[in-house]
Amino acid sequence: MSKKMLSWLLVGAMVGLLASFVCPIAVQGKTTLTFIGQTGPRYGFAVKGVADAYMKLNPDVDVVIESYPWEEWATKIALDVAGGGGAYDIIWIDYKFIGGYADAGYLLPLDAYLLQDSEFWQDIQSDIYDVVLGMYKYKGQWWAIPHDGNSQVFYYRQDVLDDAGVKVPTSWEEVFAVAPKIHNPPSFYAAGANLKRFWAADVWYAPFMSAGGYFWDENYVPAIDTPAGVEAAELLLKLTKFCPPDAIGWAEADLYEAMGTAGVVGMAPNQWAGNVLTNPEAAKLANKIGVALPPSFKGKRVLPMGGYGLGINTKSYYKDQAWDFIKFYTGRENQQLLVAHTGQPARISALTDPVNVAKSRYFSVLAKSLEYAIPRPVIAEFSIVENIVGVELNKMMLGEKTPAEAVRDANTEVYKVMRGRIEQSQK
Amino acid sequence: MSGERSKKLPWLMLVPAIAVLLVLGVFPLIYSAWLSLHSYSLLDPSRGINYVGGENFLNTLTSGHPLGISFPKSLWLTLIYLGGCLAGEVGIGLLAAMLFSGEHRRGLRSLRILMMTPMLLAPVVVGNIWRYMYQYSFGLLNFLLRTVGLPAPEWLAKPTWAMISLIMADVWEWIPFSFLVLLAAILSIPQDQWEAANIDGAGAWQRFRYIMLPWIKHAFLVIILIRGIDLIRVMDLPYVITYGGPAVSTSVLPFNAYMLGFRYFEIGHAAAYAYLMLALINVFVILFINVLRRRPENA
Amino acid sequence: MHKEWKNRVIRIVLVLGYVFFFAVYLFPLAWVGLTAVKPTELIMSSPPVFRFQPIFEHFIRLQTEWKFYGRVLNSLIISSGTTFISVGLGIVTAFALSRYNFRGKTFIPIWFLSNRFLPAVAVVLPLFLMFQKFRLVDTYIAVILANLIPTLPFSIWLLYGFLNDIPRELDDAARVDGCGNLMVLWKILLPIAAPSIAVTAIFAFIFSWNEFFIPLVLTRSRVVPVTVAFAGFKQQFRFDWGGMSAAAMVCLVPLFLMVTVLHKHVVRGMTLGAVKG
Repeated sequence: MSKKMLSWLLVGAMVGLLASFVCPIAVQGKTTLTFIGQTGPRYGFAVKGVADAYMKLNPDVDVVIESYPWEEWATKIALDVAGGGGAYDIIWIDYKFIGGYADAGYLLPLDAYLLQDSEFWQDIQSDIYDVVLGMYKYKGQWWAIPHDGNSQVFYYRQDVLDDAGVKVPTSWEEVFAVAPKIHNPPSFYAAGANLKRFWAADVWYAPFMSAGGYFWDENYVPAIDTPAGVEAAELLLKLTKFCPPDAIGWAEADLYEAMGTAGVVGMAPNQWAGNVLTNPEAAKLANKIGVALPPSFKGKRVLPMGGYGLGINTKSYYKDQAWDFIKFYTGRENQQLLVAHTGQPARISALTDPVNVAKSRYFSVLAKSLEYAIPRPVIAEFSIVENIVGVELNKMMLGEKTPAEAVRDANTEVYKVMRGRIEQSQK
Repeated sequence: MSGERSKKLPWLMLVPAIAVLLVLGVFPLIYSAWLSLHSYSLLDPSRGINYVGGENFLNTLTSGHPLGISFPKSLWLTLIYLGGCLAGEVGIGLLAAMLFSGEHRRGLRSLRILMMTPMLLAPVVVGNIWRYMYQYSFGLLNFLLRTVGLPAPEWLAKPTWAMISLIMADVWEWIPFSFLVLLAAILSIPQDQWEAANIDGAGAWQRFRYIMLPWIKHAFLVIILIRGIDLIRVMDLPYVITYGGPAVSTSVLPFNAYMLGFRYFEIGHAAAYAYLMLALINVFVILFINVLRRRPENA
Repeated sequence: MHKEWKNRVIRIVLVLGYVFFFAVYLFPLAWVGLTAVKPTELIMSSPPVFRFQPIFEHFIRLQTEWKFYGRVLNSLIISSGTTFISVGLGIVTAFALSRYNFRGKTFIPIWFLSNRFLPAVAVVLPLFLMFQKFRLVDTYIAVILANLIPTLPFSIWLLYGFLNDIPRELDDAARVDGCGNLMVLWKILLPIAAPSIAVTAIFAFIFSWNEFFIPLVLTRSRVVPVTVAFAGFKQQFRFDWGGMSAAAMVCLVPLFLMVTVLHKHVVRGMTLGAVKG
């Protein structure tokens, strides 16, 4: 009996060991572009669609796509940086990281290519807002081409607002006037937001900046503990009273489930734009959901800027081919292809193209939101900063701190993070 | 045992395993130790790898920066999590093992395999399915509870409930582990012991205490040691179900280490945090083994 | 007569107990199974939908969108390799630890176990750098070897314990018959320890199968196992429940098969051990 078992184990082992020595060899003779980016609609799906088209046009090129969720994607890039680079050719990059990776020599400055392809560059400059484009410029050089533009929009249940006989709110004051009329827990909540750790900071930015605040001054001394910060925090606290209790643990996907399919949320005032809530294939209630500009606060509307760009690795063997792919991906002719595969372009022409808007109707609102958007800080520490602010806001939502205390503690912690830069700028 | 041959043979048999683990295990240990004395951000590598001595350790032990929760507090949360999960896993696992080792052995074989399934599912799947079930307004658990008229707790919205949610999900996932180890131990109890008990007319409790317990003591050791260490070291469920929240009320130690390393990319600090965790695990293991040494062997 | 009734009642209660226990215990799994065949629009509905027309679109999408079945094969290869090395080395090492006296005997088992102590966050960067130096990133052998870090110590520890529980008198009896040490291992101990070996193999396979961080950093696109592929379902905007549930069901199949096969040996081995006394 044990002999039979052992012989099975042996067979299994030999198969395993043999297979382990067979390392799949890359297709010989083909230029291989390795691409790393995020996964799912707007990200990986769009890349795959465009890459397939590219490979059809260029049969001697193989585009290998690695898609991961945010943390794993950032981790793989970080590991590549730590290991000296070279694993990837084209990098889907968040503008927050450009400063750090440019300084580290991981990204290739694109200025030479831009000079060489001046027609393409002119077109890009004319078709993308300066503010958006400017996020990919650092120390006078260009490091990535934006291919994905993002800012915040306001999603709401048109049918619920109609039933209550109210108009779509355009300011936060109106939001809070409308909310009690449609609030009916536990089966329906007037509002929803993603509030899990740094997501809470994402919702807090817009009112904070609309009230005149900014994270720090020219010397990086944090300015979160200001009246603007406190007001925005109080606003957020008030909003959570109309949200489901576990919204404090929601990321974007949870909110979209709650609003788009389960149908328990009425308004999501400051949400990053995305192709779920207005897409009937992804959300059961998509046809009942309307999109508008996020509400203004104290008469002003300042929104955070998101979006991504495509950069090239300095250690890539196929730089020219990578640049060719980037031109293909961000070229005017291919934006409809991109959108057809759930992409979210950065080009204004693409966001206002009727064919694209028919596919993703929130594009027209996004194009307007981008006019109000300002970039978030382009420094590596910002990941930590937004988490700190988010956690303090979470503690406020749990009732452990008042808005003023939360903002004050956030400021203290952020100061510790920024200390290095503060000392440097004071020299 | 005597003679030259027997002195060398055991070492020869140990060499392959030692070699593998030396190469694979010791390098990370040394590298992390070195890294923990430096400050290195993978998001801003040009800042360099700067020597900071014990600052990472001091920082971790005296403040919660930048995690929002202090090390002692996180340790406390981890111990609660550890205790709750072990109690559930071992308790229910033992119960199940006793039930399935009964006289109806043969018929229950397929049921035994069904018992194993939660452990076979990928942790990501387990985490996500429980997260869905715990949703307050549209989750499955509250739907069922409301249907039968019971109160629906705010599973993921309140600190205490969030911890309970984590413990429940973990116990569900890992019952098969203790079940299988205890089952193997119970089934290896020789038949004559049971016959002797029958002859002596022993009751259920006496059977348990004098026959079963001595034989499964070692199984307990394995389970608590392995699962205990993993509960301190692994953060699959707290990551997927609560993400350390709400706020930081389920930010157990491994979760914090993960955030430091893979979200903030402050890997020097993360290495120091990991080393502190390592120290704790060592303490746990040494304490546990000593406690077991003191108990008398087989009754 | 009274006793017969009592027994029957006890039996009925027990059966009901089993049924209830399994209903509760397997409920989340049943839900995953339901979700795997549910049309996407119905998946997160409130109230939850129990009756619907099942579809197989998710299983097909697994291949067309995610090339998932290839990943399953990768996981099979990796887990088999790790299990074999883990159990093989484990048996030899555990035997040495259990049956010999030598210096460091108390210290070494703990040292083995300690290799499992370091949290993943501290392990993965050095592992990556090490394998990158040897150009072994994205190969099967790299992941198989790296997976030994969590599985080998555990295998050794488990087998060490089980071998210790087997009384030395059996060894001596065999040695009287003229067996050398290795023969004792092969002829006497292995048959008795067979259930423990089976249990160890099950765990080694499962732990290796479910390992996430190590393959995340050591694979790129070629030898990606299912755990890393699963991460792809965790999308920022839309959680692909249908895809993930279908993938989970698909992954259960090889694991289930493996457990069933090895379980037979666990059960068969029990009778042998029990009779020996």
